[in-house]
Amino acid sequence: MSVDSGVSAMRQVMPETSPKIRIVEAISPTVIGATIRFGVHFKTMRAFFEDGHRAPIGQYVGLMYQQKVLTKPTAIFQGIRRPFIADGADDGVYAYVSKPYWTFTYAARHQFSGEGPDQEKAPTDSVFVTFVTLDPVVIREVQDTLGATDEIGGVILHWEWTMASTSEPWLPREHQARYRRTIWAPT
Amino acid sequence: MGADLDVTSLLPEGVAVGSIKEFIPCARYIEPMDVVVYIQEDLAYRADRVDPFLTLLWHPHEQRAIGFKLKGFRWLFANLQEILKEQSVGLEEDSFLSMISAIQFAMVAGGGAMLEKMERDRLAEKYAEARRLAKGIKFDSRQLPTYARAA
Repeated sequence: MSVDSGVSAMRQVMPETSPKIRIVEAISPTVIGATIRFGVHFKTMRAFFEDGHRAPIGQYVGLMYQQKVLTKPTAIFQGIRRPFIADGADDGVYAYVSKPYWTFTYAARHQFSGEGPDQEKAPTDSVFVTFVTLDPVVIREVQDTLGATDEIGGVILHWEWTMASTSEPWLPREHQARYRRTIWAPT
Repeated sequence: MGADLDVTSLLPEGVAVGSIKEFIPCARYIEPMDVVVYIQEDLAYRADRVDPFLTLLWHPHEQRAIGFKLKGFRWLFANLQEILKEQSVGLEEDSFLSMISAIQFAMVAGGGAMLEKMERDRLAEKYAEARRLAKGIKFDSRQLPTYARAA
Protein backbone atom coordinates (compact mmCIF):
# COMPACT_ATOMS: atom_id res chain seq x y z
CA MET A 1 0.00 0.00 0.00
CA SER A 2 1.38 3.44 -0.88
CA VAL A 3 1.67 6.19 1.75
CA ASP A 4 -1.06 8.19 -0.01
CA SER A 5 -3.60 5.38 -0.20
CA GLY A 6 -2.90 4.50 3.42
CA VAL A 7 -3.72 8.03 4.49
CA SER A 8 -6.96 8.08 2.47
CA ALA A 9 -8.13 4.87 4.11
CA MET A 10 -7.21 6.20 7.53
CA ARG A 11 -9.33 9.35 7.30
CA GLN A 12 -12.42 7.30 7.98
CA VAL A 13 -11.16 5.85 11.25
CA MET A 14 -9.10 8.50 13.04
CA PRO A 15 -9.91 8.87 16.76
CA GLU A 16 -10.81 12.17 18.44
CA THR A 17 -7.22 12.69 19.58
CA SER A 18 -3.90 11.34 18.30
CA PRO A 19 -0.73 10.58 20.32
CA LYS A 20 0.69 13.86 21.67
CA ILE A 21 4.13 12.97 20.36
CA ARG A 22 3.16 13.90 16.79
CA ILE A 23 2.56 17.56 17.70
CA VAL A 24 5.03 20.08 19.14
CA GLU A 25 4.71 23.64 20.36
CA ALA A 26 6.55 26.60 18.86
CA ILE A 27 6.51 30.35 18.90
CA SER A 28 4.57 31.71 15.95
CA PRO A 29 6.66 32.97 13.02
CA THR A 30 3.91 35.39 12.01
CA VAL A 31 2.26 36.69 15.21
CA ILE A 32 4.53 38.24 17.82
CA GLY A 33 4.17 36.64 21.24
CA ALA A 34 1.78 33.92 20.05
CA THR A 35 2.35 30.18 20.18
CA ILE A 36 1.54 27.71 17.43
CA ARG A 37 1.32 23.92 17.15
CA PHE A 38 3.20 22.04 14.44
CA GLY A 39 2.50 18.48 13.31
CA VAL A 40 5.43 16.42 12.08
CA HIS A 41 5.08 15.32 8.44
CA PHE A 42 4.41 11.58 8.35
CA LYS A 43 6.25 11.17 5.00
CA THR A 44 9.49 12.48 6.47
CA MET A 45 9.13 10.40 9.62
CA ARG A 46 8.23 7.30 7.64
CA ALA A 47 11.37 7.66 5.50
CA PHE A 48 13.50 7.72 8.68
CA PHE A 49 11.73 4.60 10.01
CA GLU A 50 12.17 2.69 6.76
CA ASP A 51 15.88 3.51 6.40
CA GLY A 52 16.71 3.05 10.09
CA HIS A 53 17.74 6.66 10.67
CA ARG A 54 17.56 6.70 14.46
CA ALA A 55 19.45 9.99 14.86
CA PRO A 56 16.77 12.25 13.31
CA ILE A 57 13.99 10.34 15.09
CA GLY A 58 15.82 10.93 18.38
CA GLN A 59 16.34 14.60 17.49
CA TYR A 60 12.63 15.08 16.87
CA VAL A 61 11.59 13.42 20.14
CA GLY A 62 14.43 14.72 22.32
CA LEU A 63 14.84 18.25 21.00
CA MET A 64 11.47 19.26 19.56
CA TYR A 65 9.02 17.24 21.67
CA GLN A 66 10.78 16.99 25.05
CA GLN A 67 13.05 20.05 25.16
CA LYS A 68 10.67 22.23 23.08
CA VAL A 69 13.46 23.95 21.17
CA LEU A 70 10.95 25.56 18.81
CA THR A 71 9.61 27.65 21.68
CA LYS A 72 13.04 29.23 22.26
CA PRO A 73 14.80 29.60 18.90
CA THR A 74 17.93 31.69 18.46
CA ALA A 75 16.54 32.90 15.11
CA ILE A 76 13.75 32.33 12.59
CA PHE A 77 14.26 32.78 8.85
CA GLN A 78 11.76 32.70 5.99
CA GLY A 79 12.31 31.33 2.46
CA ILE A 80 15.02 28.96 1.28
CA ARG A 81 17.23 30.03 -1.61
CA ARG A 82 17.01 26.99 -3.86
CA PRO A 83 14.49 25.28 -6.18
CA PHE A 84 11.67 23.79 -4.09
CA ILE A 85 8.74 21.80 -5.50
CA ALA A 86 7.11 24.71 -7.38
CA ASP A 87 7.69 28.40 -8.13
CA GLY A 88 7.33 30.51 -4.99
CA ALA A 89 6.83 27.49 -2.70
CA ASP A 90 10.20 28.04 -1.02
CA ASP A 91 8.94 31.33 0.42
CA GLY A 92 6.43 29.44 2.58
CA VAL A 93 9.19 27.57 4.38
CA TYR A 94 10.46 28.85 7.74
CA ALA A 95 13.73 27.78 9.34
CA TYR A 96 13.82 27.69 13.15
CA VAL A 97 17.37 27.81 14.49
CA SER A 98 18.36 26.71 17.99
CA LYS A 99 21.58 25.88 19.79
CA PRO A 100 21.03 23.01 22.23
CA TYR A 101 23.95 21.51 24.16
CA TRP A 102 22.80 17.99 23.36
CA THR A 103 21.46 15.89 20.57
CA PHE A 104 19.52 12.63 20.85
CA THR A 105 19.25 9.28 19.13
CA TYR A 106 16.97 6.29 19.55
CA ALA A 107 18.73 3.14 20.67
CA ALA A 108 16.98 -0.03 19.49
CA ARG A 109 16.35 -1.16 23.07
CA HIS A 110 14.37 2.00 23.87
CA GLN A 111 11.94 2.24 21.03
CA PHE A 112 9.05 0.41 22.71
CA SER A 113 9.94 1.17 26.33
CA GLY A 114 8.70 4.73 26.59
CA GLU A 115 12.08 5.69 28.10
CA GLY A 116 12.81 8.19 25.36
CA PRO A 117 15.92 8.74 23.28
CA ASP A 118 19.55 8.68 24.44
CA GLN A 119 21.33 11.98 24.98
CA GLU A 120 24.64 12.68 23.21
CA LYS A 121 26.98 15.65 22.96
CA ALA A 122 25.77 18.09 20.29
CA PRO A 123 27.73 18.06 17.01
CA THR A 124 30.75 20.35 17.03
CA ASP A 125 30.27 24.03 16.04
CA SER A 126 26.69 23.52 14.93
CA VAL A 127 23.14 24.76 15.29
CA PHE A 128 19.94 22.77 15.00
CA VAL A 129 17.64 23.84 12.15
CA THR A 130 14.00 22.81 11.76
CA PHE A 131 12.12 23.53 8.53
CA VAL A 132 8.37 24.14 8.78
CA THR A 133 5.63 25.30 6.44
CA LEU A 134 2.38 27.15 7.00
CA ASP A 135 1.07 26.10 3.56
CA PRO A 136 -2.65 25.21 4.01
CA VAL A 137 -2.43 22.31 1.52
CA VAL A 138 0.38 20.64 3.48
CA ILE A 139 -1.34 21.41 6.79
CA ARG A 140 -4.53 19.72 5.54
CA GLU A 141 -2.56 16.66 4.41
CA VAL A 142 -1.07 16.21 7.89
CA GLN A 143 -4.18 17.36 9.77
CA ASP A 144 -6.07 14.50 8.12
CA THR A 145 -3.78 12.05 9.93
CA LEU A 146 -4.35 13.62 13.34
CA GLY A 147 -7.28 13.50 15.72
CA ALA A 148 -10.19 15.85 15.12
CA THR A 149 -9.36 18.01 18.15
CA ASP A 150 -5.60 18.13 17.49
CA GLU A 151 -5.60 21.28 15.41
CA ILE A 152 -2.22 22.34 13.98
CA GLY A 153 -1.11 25.64 12.45
CA GLY A 154 1.92 24.34 10.54
CA VAL A 155 3.91 21.28 9.56
CA ILE A 156 7.48 20.23 10.32
CA LEU A 157 9.04 19.16 7.02
CA HIS A 158 12.62 18.23 7.97
CA TRP A 159 15.36 18.95 10.54
CA GLU A 160 19.14 18.65 10.86
CA TRP A 161 22.25 19.98 12.52
CA THR A 162 24.01 22.62 10.42
CA MET A 163 27.48 24.17 10.55
CA ALA A 164 27.36 27.37 12.63
CA SER A 165 28.75 30.76 11.73
CA THR A 166 32.13 31.39 13.35
CA SER A 167 31.33 35.05 14.11
CA GLU A 168 27.71 34.42 15.23
CA PRO A 169 27.77 30.83 16.57
CA TRP A 170 24.01 30.83 17.32
CA LEU A 171 23.27 31.19 13.57
CA PRO A 172 23.95 28.91 10.56
CA ARG A 173 27.05 29.61 8.51
CA GLU A 174 26.28 31.92 5.52
CA HIS A 175 22.65 32.28 6.56
CA GLN A 176 22.23 35.20 4.13
CA ALA A 177 22.89 32.79 1.24
CA ARG A 178 20.59 30.10 2.63
CA TYR A 179 17.46 32.07 3.56
CA ARG A 180 15.56 34.98 2.02
CA ARG A 181 14.78 37.05 5.09
CA THR A 182 15.18 37.18 8.85
CA ILE A 183 11.89 36.97 10.73
CA TRP A 184 13.41 37.11 14.15
CA ALA A 185 16.97 37.14 15.53
CA PRO A 186 18.57 38.57 18.67
CA THR A 187 19.89 42.11 18.28
CA MET B 1 7.47 10.67 30.25
CA GLY B 2 6.22 7.10 29.99
CA ALA B 3 4.41 5.31 27.23
CA ASP B 4 3.84 8.43 25.12
CA LEU B 5 7.51 8.18 24.09
CA ASP B 6 6.96 4.86 22.34
CA VAL B 7 8.29 5.71 18.88
CA THR B 8 5.76 3.52 17.09
CA SER B 9 3.16 6.18 17.90
CA LEU B 10 5.10 8.72 15.79
CA LEU B 11 3.44 7.41 12.63
CA PRO B 12 -0.30 7.39 12.00
CA GLU B 13 -1.93 3.97 11.69
CA GLY B 14 -2.41 3.97 7.93
CA VAL B 15 1.30 4.53 7.16
CA ALA B 16 2.88 2.82 10.18
CA VAL B 17 5.78 0.48 9.48
CA GLY B 18 6.09 -0.97 13.00
CA SER B 19 9.51 -0.58 14.55
CA ILE B 20 12.46 1.40 13.18
CA LYS B 21 14.18 -0.78 10.55
CA GLU B 22 17.88 -1.63 10.35
CA PHE B 23 20.02 1.23 9.04
CA ILE B 24 20.56 1.08 5.28
CA PRO B 25 22.78 3.61 3.48
CA CYS B 26 20.60 4.53 0.51
CA ALA B 27 19.63 7.57 -1.55
CA ARG B 28 16.22 8.56 -0.16
CA TYR B 29 13.83 11.18 -1.53
CA ILE B 30 12.26 13.20 1.30
CA GLU B 31 9.20 14.50 -0.50
CA PRO B 32 8.07 17.24 1.93
CA MET B 33 11.50 18.92 1.62
CA ASP B 34 12.13 18.00 -2.05
CA VAL B 35 15.61 16.61 -1.32
CA VAL B 36 17.49 13.38 -1.86
CA VAL B 37 19.59 12.51 1.17
CA TYR B 38 22.37 9.93 1.21
CA ILE B 39 24.29 9.14 4.41
CA GLN B 40 26.75 6.34 5.09
CA GLU B 41 26.39 6.37 8.88
CA ASP B 42 23.37 6.98 11.09
CA LEU B 43 24.77 9.97 12.97
CA ALA B 44 23.78 13.54 13.82
CA TYR B 45 25.48 14.85 10.69
CA ARG B 46 26.37 18.52 10.19
CA ALA B 47 25.00 20.07 6.99
CA ASP B 48 27.36 22.37 5.07
CA ARG B 49 25.77 24.23 2.14
CA VAL B 50 27.87 24.16 -1.04
CA ASP B 51 25.43 25.90 -3.43
CA PRO B 52 21.65 25.95 -4.11
CA PHE B 53 21.70 22.28 -5.19
CA LEU B 54 24.32 20.52 -3.08
CA THR B 55 24.90 20.25 0.66
CA LEU B 56 27.66 18.06 2.09
CA LEU B 57 26.91 16.20 5.33
CA TRP B 58 29.83 15.94 7.76
CA HIS B 59 30.53 13.63 10.67
CA PRO B 60 29.33 15.29 13.93
CA HIS B 61 32.82 15.55 15.41
CA GLU B 62 35.33 14.61 12.69
CA GLN B 63 36.46 16.39 9.54
CA ARG B 64 35.09 13.88 7.04
CA ALA B 65 31.99 13.93 4.86
CA ILE B 66 29.57 11.05 5.44
CA GLY B 67 26.86 12.01 2.97
CA PHE B 68 25.25 14.62 0.76
CA LYS B 69 21.92 16.23 0.00
CA LEU B 70 20.70 17.10 -3.50
CA LYS B 71 18.14 19.88 -3.17
CA GLY B 72 15.35 20.88 -5.54
CA PHE B 73 15.45 17.31 -6.74
CA ARG B 74 12.18 17.36 -8.70
CA TRP B 75 13.55 20.11 -10.90
CA LEU B 76 16.93 18.40 -11.25
CA PHE B 77 15.37 15.05 -12.08
CA ALA B 78 12.91 16.44 -14.65
CA ASN B 79 15.66 18.31 -16.48
CA LEU B 80 18.15 15.48 -16.35
CA GLN B 81 15.50 13.09 -17.65
CA GLU B 82 14.83 15.45 -20.58
CA ILE B 83 18.51 15.49 -21.47
CA LEU B 84 18.79 11.70 -21.27
CA LYS B 85 15.72 11.40 -23.46
CA GLU B 86 17.19 13.71 -26.11
CA GLN B 87 20.30 11.53 -26.15
CA SER B 88 18.09 8.43 -26.35
CA VAL B 89 19.49 7.22 -23.05
CA GLY B 90 16.98 5.82 -20.57
CA LEU B 91 17.23 5.28 -16.84
CA GLU B 92 18.82 2.00 -15.84
CA GLU B 93 16.18 -0.73 -15.56
CA ASP B 94 13.65 2.03 -16.28
CA SER B 95 13.85 3.61 -12.85
CA PHE B 96 17.41 3.79 -11.46
CA LEU B 97 19.44 6.95 -11.79
CA SER B 98 23.17 7.06 -11.05
CA MET B 99 23.72 9.57 -8.26
CA ILE B 100 27.01 10.60 -9.87
CA SER B 101 25.08 11.73 -12.99
CA ALA B 102 22.67 13.68 -10.80
CA ILE B 103 25.57 15.36 -8.98
CA GLN B 104 27.32 16.22 -12.25
CA PHE B 105 24.11 17.76 -13.55
CA ALA B 106 23.59 19.74 -10.33
CA MET B 107 27.07 21.23 -10.68
CA VAL B 108 26.32 22.46 -14.20
CA ALA B 109 22.86 23.70 -13.18
CA GLY B 110 24.40 25.60 -10.28
CA GLY B 111 26.22 27.81 -12.75
CA GLY B 112 29.68 27.17 -11.38
CA ALA B 113 31.26 28.19 -14.69
CA MET B 114 30.28 31.82 -14.11
CA LEU B 115 32.09 32.12 -10.80
CA GLU B 116 35.55 33.48 -10.00
CA LYS B 117 38.31 30.90 -10.30
CA MET B 118 38.86 30.55 -6.54
CA GLU B 119 35.16 29.97 -5.89
CA ARG B 120 34.96 27.63 -8.88
CA ASP B 121 37.84 25.58 -7.46
CA ARG B 122 36.16 25.43 -4.07
CA LEU B 123 32.94 24.17 -5.66
CA ALA B 124 34.79 21.64 -7.80
CA GLU B 125 36.45 20.24 -4.68
CA LYS B 126 33.13 19.91 -2.83
CA TYR B 127 31.44 18.31 -5.83
CA ALA B 128 34.34 15.88 -6.15
CA GLU B 129 33.76 14.91 -2.51
CA ALA B 130 30.06 14.28 -3.25
CA ARG B 131 30.95 12.20 -6.33
CA ARG B 132 33.34 10.12 -4.23
CA LEU B 133 30.55 9.37 -1.76
CA ALA B 134 28.05 8.68 -4.56
CA LYS B 135 30.18 6.09 -6.33
CA GLY B 136 28.00 3.11 -7.18
CA ILE B 137 24.91 4.63 -5.53
CA LYS B 138 21.68 4.47 -7.52
CA PHE B 139 18.53 6.46 -6.89
CA ASP B 140 15.29 4.59 -7.39
CA SER B 141 13.10 7.18 -9.11
CA ARG B 142 9.95 5.28 -8.13
CA GLN B 143 10.29 7.13 -4.80
CA LEU B 144 9.23 10.32 -6.60
CA PRO B 145 5.52 11.16 -6.84
CA THR B 146 4.05 9.88 -10.13
CA TYR B 147 3.54 13.36 -11.62
CA ALA B 148 7.22 14.19 -10.99
CA ARG B 149 8.41 11.10 -12.86
CA ALA B 150 6.60 11.76 -16.14
CA ALA B 151 9.01 13.47 -18.49
